Amino acid sequence: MKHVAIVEDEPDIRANYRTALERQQYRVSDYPDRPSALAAFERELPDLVVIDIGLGEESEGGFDLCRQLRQMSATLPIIFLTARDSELDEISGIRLGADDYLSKDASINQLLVRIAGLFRRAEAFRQDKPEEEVLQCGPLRLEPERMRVYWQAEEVPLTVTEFWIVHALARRPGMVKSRDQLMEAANIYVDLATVTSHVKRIRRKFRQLDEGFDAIEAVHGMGYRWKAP
Amino acid sequence: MKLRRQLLILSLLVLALPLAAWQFVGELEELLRQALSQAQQQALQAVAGNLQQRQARMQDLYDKRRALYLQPLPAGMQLDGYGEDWPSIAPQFQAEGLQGWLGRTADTLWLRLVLNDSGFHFSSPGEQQGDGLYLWLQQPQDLIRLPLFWEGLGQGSLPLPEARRLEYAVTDLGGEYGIELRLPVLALKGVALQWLDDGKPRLRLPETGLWPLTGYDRSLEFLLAGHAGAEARYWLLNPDGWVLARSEPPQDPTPDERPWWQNWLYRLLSGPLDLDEPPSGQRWRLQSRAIEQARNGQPAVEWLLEPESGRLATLAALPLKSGDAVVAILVSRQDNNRLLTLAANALRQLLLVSGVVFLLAVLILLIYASVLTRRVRRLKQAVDTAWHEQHGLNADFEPSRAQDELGELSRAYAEMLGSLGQHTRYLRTLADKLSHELKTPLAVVRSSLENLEMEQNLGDSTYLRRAQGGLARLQRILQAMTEANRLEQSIQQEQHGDVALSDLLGEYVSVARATCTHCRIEADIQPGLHIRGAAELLIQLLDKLLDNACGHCPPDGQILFRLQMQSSAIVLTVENDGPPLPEEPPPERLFDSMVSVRAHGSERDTPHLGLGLYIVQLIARFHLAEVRAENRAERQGACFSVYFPAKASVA
Repeated sequence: MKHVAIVEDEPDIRANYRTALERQQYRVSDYPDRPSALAAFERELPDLVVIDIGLGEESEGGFDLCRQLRQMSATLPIIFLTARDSELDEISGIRLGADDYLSKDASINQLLVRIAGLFRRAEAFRQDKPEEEVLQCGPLRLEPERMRVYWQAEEVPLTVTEFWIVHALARRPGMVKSRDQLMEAANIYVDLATVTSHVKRIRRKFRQLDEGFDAIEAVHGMGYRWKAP
Repeated sequence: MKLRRQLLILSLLVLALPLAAWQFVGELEELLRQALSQAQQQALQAVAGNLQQRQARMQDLYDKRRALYLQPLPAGMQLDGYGEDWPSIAPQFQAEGLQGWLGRTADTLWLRLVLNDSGFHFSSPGEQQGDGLYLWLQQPQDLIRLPLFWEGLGQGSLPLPEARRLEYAVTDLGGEYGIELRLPVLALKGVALQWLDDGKPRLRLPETGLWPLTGYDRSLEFLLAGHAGAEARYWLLNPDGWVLARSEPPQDPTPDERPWWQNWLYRLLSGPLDLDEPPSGQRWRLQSRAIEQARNGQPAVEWLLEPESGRLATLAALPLKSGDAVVAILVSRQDNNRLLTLAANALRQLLLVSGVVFLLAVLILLIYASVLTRRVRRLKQAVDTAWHEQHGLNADFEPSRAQDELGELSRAYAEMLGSLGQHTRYLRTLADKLSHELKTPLAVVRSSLENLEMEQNLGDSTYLRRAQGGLARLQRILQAMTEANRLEQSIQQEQHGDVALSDLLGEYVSVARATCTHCRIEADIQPGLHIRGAAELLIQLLDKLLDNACGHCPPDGQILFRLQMQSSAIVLTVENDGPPLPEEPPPERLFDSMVSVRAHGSERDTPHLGLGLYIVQLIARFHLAEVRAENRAERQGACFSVYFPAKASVA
């Protein structure tokens, strides 16, 4: 049974998430603040952690906790929950090593999908299966099982959500995907602007490896497409 | 009127300074003149006192106060009946039809008469029937009567005692007859004459008795000489103005070399005081206003300005009285050129000084006005700039440290702008803060509902569906609220690139036609226009403009996208058939955060927080473009325009 830890200062949300996760047959432990969570993690590391960025008095306690967790384990999947949209940019900017992030607007289902995705990815790593279904598209190489992306043979540190977006675009190069389609693929049902900002972040990550990256093209009024090489 | 001009006009008040000084100098000058007049009159009084002590002299003057004056005549008089060689033109005595002059040279007595008689009859020789004269001459011992009847024009003579002769000449002056008589000087005491018309007496002068005679008296000169000086002369006149005695004329009265303007200035200065011409008349008779006044018994002073020499002088006249009768007039003439020079110099100084002061004052005031104006203008500009930046990202207003009212005004502005900026910033972050605060309880509600749905398996519950619908709506509201804020934060990282605006708009309109069904979407696009910018932001801008137009456009109305190159800008216009813009708030405020003019009751899914046009403005500003909202001129509807600078465009 997978062990999921929730660090969230709001008791009602915490309880709701716990109920929902337990329904999915996860073992759940929850903590209202950073010290109690950290104390527990030092005793036993869970399989996955969901962290709220603002933790009571500590407005960025989530970031600190994430950093401390990463020191304990480099591979532990971490999902951030944010109340502020601006924090999304901060996460990607700081690159603390979170595997995904989710707005509090998102539904429990979206959280569950991400948790499942992350477990799947971790499983793929553990089994170290031979790459079965590798998607190669010019300098882009996608490993769907491990949810890993390579550009010109260098790994691009994408989150799960971002991976799904890239995957949806690159699977059919040249074909326009609307924002709605991308949301569906990435399991985000929030708003169109969120897709836009996700695409922006994806581009930024690619450009950190390759200044001239322009494979993701905006089609005015319609959506995005992966430029065929 | 500009401040500078106001102060310039105010500075004209400085002109009052020379005016006041002018007045002052004028008064000073008058005071000086009064003092001088008094001094002169006192000197005159001293002379008079000296004379009045001499009883015999006074008696003599009294006796002769109405005496006929024997005016000293120049040598070389012609006995011809004409009066050209007589110095005095005015007659010394006159009666109806008769004018007479009396004078003497060193050894001869002269009498000239002009008779106005239409029927002048000459007498036959030896007869006394025509026109003629009786002349009485009072000698010390006896009184002689001379009958004078002439037989025609020309000269004649009469024998006198002691083998002397009286010579005469008669001449026709045209309606008048001029008669001139000459007789050797006798010790005359008095004289009288009678005019006979056709042998009958016509008039006698004086009517009874004889006229005593008087003349220039050297023995009186000594009384005057003591007081006379280089700048003062004295005269003793009989009541008729004839000179009985005078002091010596001053040695060599050199005319003053003075610039013309000094006289002119002086005349200007002494304004109301009339400066008389020098006394008229000849050497032996003085006539002037002051003398005339003295004859009536009043001492008087008058100021003279000699036109030729430009000399300023004072003429004082003092009547000498015996009882009520004026027996003689003492006159003094004082040269007061120094006063004139003094006043003129003072005036020159005054004009110079006040001119310099005036110029200086004007200059200083002008500089001051400029400084003041510049400060006010700078304050205005700073306020303007701060005001415009207020709507932008940062308001930077440096308050003045000056201690005066302008400094206070500046500080007051700084305070006002500060609190306004705070308020603006508060408004701007309000949406963000509010959405953040609302998100947590919303998440509680949502997660609870989701759990409820899963646990109870109430997938089709009406209430649950309604609750979820409301939740979704709330969420959309929150998203709309944070959109602007998110854009503001991310816009800084956007990069400019070349955007084919015409193509972009064309594509956009074709997609928009498919999505916006309740109104017709038209486009009028000038092809080939490019700008520098970010395509995604421009799409967002178009989204917002379209959304705004859709919101106002009535069903089946028209929305028109227009893209044109105008003089210096590429203008993107979105027009709709909706109602005109309201008066309040003003159109430029429509682009501010949280300003909405949509009717509150409008039942629509998407919330309206007045942020759509604010986003338009944010994106426009990122493109250095200007936004404008106005009513359509030709027909009803509003029109929103974005002016992209053409210089930032790429052909």
